Amino acid sequence: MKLFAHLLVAQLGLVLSASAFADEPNAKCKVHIIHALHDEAKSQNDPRLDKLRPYLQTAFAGYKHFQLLELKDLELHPNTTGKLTLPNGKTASLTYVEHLMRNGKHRVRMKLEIESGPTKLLDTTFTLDEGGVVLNAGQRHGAGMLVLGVSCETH
Amino acid sequence: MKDHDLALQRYFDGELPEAERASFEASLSDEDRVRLAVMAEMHTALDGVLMAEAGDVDLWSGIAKNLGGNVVPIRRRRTSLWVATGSIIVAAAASLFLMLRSQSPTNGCDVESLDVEGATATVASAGDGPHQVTVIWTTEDQ
Repeated sequence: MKLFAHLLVAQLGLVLSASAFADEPNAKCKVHIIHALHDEAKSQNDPRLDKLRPYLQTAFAGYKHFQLLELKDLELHPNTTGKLTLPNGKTASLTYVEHLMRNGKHRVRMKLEIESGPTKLLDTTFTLDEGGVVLNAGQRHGAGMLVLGVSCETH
Repeated sequence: MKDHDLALQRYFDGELPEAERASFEASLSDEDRVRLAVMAEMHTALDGVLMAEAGDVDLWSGIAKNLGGNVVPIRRRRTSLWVATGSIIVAAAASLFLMLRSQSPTNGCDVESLDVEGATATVASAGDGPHQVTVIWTTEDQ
């Protein structure tokens, strides 16, 4: 009887936790993988970078051209992770931790990890307004550097 | 922070007594000298960032020449220096967990934790108004 009670409590816990996650919306995230270059553009600007370009030009004034290498669309459930292989061979993981509300704004808590072989170069957790952008920069790539642009929407 | 790390920081800050300073200097390893160089670089960079808070200056040259615009650190000087120190410890192959809470980023990004290994990382807010953005700058150790 005691064992049955324990099992019942455990089962209830699972149901409650599943229902808590079920209430949270999925996150649709975009990860722009960008090559920032010092040279002037040799090709036309990629329209898929139009939204991010003002941020890039503001933050990285020393770079003249931003080439979109890859655009990853990730649809993530709470507590799930999307993985990307970066052009420099490193891997990036984006985990949707949870959905939050602050002052009536939808926000997401995300975890971004960048690994180089067994070394976890970066492991950061941040919260972001829906539609907000966070940039990760500094990794060398070719004649320039890689920039990752992360933004997410839940509604 | 280990005693040696603390002594290195005090040496860098000019806080060691003269006699202790000389003997400590004589005992510096190559790795210590690299760490001091990185500390100096970060110190210069953060000075530049702090100057930027007071005016329109070309910024961030010490950390990365190419991070431009109106860049301000998310944390104040003391904390930023602490972050820099932490990064140096990380550069010495340690791993450090830093808790950060941003003060006033307007793109809605709050960096809550930053853990690096074999790299240095700095969080900054770049730009003004609608184009303000949070940048997590990661530099892999050589």
